[in-house]
Amino acid sequence: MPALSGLQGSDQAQALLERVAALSLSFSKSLNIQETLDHAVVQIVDLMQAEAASIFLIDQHHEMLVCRASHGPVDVRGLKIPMDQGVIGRALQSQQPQVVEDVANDPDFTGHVDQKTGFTSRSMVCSPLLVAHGAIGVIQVLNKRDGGLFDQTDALTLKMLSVPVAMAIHNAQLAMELVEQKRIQRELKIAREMQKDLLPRRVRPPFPIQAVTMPAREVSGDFYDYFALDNGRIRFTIGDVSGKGLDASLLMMRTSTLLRWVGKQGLPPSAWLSAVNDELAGSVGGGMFICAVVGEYDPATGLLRWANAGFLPLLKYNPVEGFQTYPASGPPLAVLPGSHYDDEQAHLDNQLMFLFSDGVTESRERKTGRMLELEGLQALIEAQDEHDSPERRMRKLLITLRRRRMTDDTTLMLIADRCRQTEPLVEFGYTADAANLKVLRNVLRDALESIGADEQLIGQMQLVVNEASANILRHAYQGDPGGRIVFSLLKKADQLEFIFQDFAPCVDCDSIRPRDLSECRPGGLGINLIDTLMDEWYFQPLEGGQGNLLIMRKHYDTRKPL
Amino acid sequence: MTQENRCDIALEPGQVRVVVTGEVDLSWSSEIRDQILRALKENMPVKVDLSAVSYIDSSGIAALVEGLQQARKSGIPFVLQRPSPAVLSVLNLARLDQVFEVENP
Repeated sequence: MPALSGLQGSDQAQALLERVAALSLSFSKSLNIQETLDHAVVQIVDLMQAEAASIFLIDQHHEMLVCRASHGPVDVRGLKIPMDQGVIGRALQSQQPQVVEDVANDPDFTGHVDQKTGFTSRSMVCSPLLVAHGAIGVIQVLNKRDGGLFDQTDALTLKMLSVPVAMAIHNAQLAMELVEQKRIQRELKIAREMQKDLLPRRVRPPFPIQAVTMPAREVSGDFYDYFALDNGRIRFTIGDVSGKGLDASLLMMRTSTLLRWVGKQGLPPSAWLSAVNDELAGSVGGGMFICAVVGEYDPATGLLRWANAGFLPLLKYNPVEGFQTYPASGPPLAVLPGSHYDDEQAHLDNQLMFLFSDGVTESRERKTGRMLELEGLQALIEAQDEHDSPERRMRKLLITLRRRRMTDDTTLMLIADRCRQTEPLVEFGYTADAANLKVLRNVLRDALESIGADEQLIGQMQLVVNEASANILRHAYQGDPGGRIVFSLLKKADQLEFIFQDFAPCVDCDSIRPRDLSECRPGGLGINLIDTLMDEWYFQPLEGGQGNLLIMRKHYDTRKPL
Repeated sequence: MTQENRCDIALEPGQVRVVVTGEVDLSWSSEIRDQILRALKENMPVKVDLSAVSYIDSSGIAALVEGLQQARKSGIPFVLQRPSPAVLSVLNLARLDQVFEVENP
């Protein structure tokens, strides 16, 4: 008998509703999409007393309807039909049930399936599977078992049945997406762990290098590394791969590993970068590149050497001398083979060297959205307590950065050797009166005698401080005996540092040069004597146009008697 | 042992001696310059005795160089007598040791 004939109030109708309710309940319990579909077609064939039923779902590319479940004499699973053709296409496009009492009379009936399967369709009813965002597929039911034709009542029945089926499919799809998302998250977490494993372990102070990286997403395109060579020198790398997705993170792992491997061969930093660049260039696609710095620190001498491939400038700081930046000397890695890089160097005595990825300078203030920029980072560093240890400085900087909005991977490295910090031997303030030169010489003699310096060194250094001071009297203060000068002598592990600070108008640095000694003339000898006797000296006007610093260094191993 | 800073002129038969003692620096090197130029005006060979100089800076050396240049212009012999180690080392550093005639009796 027809499924819903005499629907109103009949026992059969009651039974049907109960079966629909049971079907809905069973669907709601299953999150396995195939199980749901297979169950649905069997139930529908039975309820509609039909010969066959199939469920077609829109494929993942939104191009075709694909049969995902079928029940009947012929299995049509996997059959694909265009989304806008046939009665099934019509049901999908119109989002309305379609009844074809006799397929012979319907112009949309294409007979695709019949041709392929040998099945003979006589009567058909189709209902779209509707969810909130539209149709996701179509249920098709074929041929009444009793040979009759489907009518509008059958269409209504199928429409009713399609509701729980659509919801069940939708739920199962959402569940699948969720499972997929979780799988991706799990794999990203593994990738993140692998990236973390690449980072070196933190080494306790007084180890001179500390670094932290904070990825913007699950995985990072930033990296850093450090490792000791057999000769006691410490090598380091820091870098930033363009982009910040999975591709960047994979290239990061490759680059970081390659840099470590090549770095252990002991090449100078410039050759180290060149070797890695030549390896990467040509084998990295998609316009990706890597900005990186590699370098080496020698704790025995305090010398830091590095080469910079397109990475942000290194930032050197000390509270007395202020900031100095060292920009990149060559292009990023993986851009062109044969790229050239320069070796650069600086002494780390009493200096802090900051290296940072653009995530630091591009971090934004939460309220105003203002970027930190280099100036902002310098202001943060300058505002720190100058007596703070490098570790404490780093901690405080990170706290500040974490309060900001970070949109990019953020990496910060600080190289600072507390073992090479200075010990002040003298701080002596005096006025720019020539009569004080002798006092200054005597102050210096006492200080140098106290550290066991020999007569020759004392005599030479007396001459140097005398000349330096005389120049300040003559050139900075121009004979004004009231000008104030502060002289400091600092003892470091392997050198003495002499610092003169005056408060006169800034002097033109270019005018201060040693003269050619081959010409015999009075005057201008002072700078020459300084240049001859000191290992390093430079002159630095202070900011604001008032005051000058003269810094002079002399190698002197205070750990061993001369 | 600190010596008083002094620069005296002694007229001797056939020569003028300028005797410098103490630590020569900017505070009084102009005095030495003036004495040397005054000595040169006697139109006799000038000898600058530096044996008692315990320290000399570039302003002191400049006074000696100016004296030498002036003497050459006037055709007068200009000699540094018994320069102390402090003087010699600065002359060396300034590569002036070959420029001056040095007498070590």
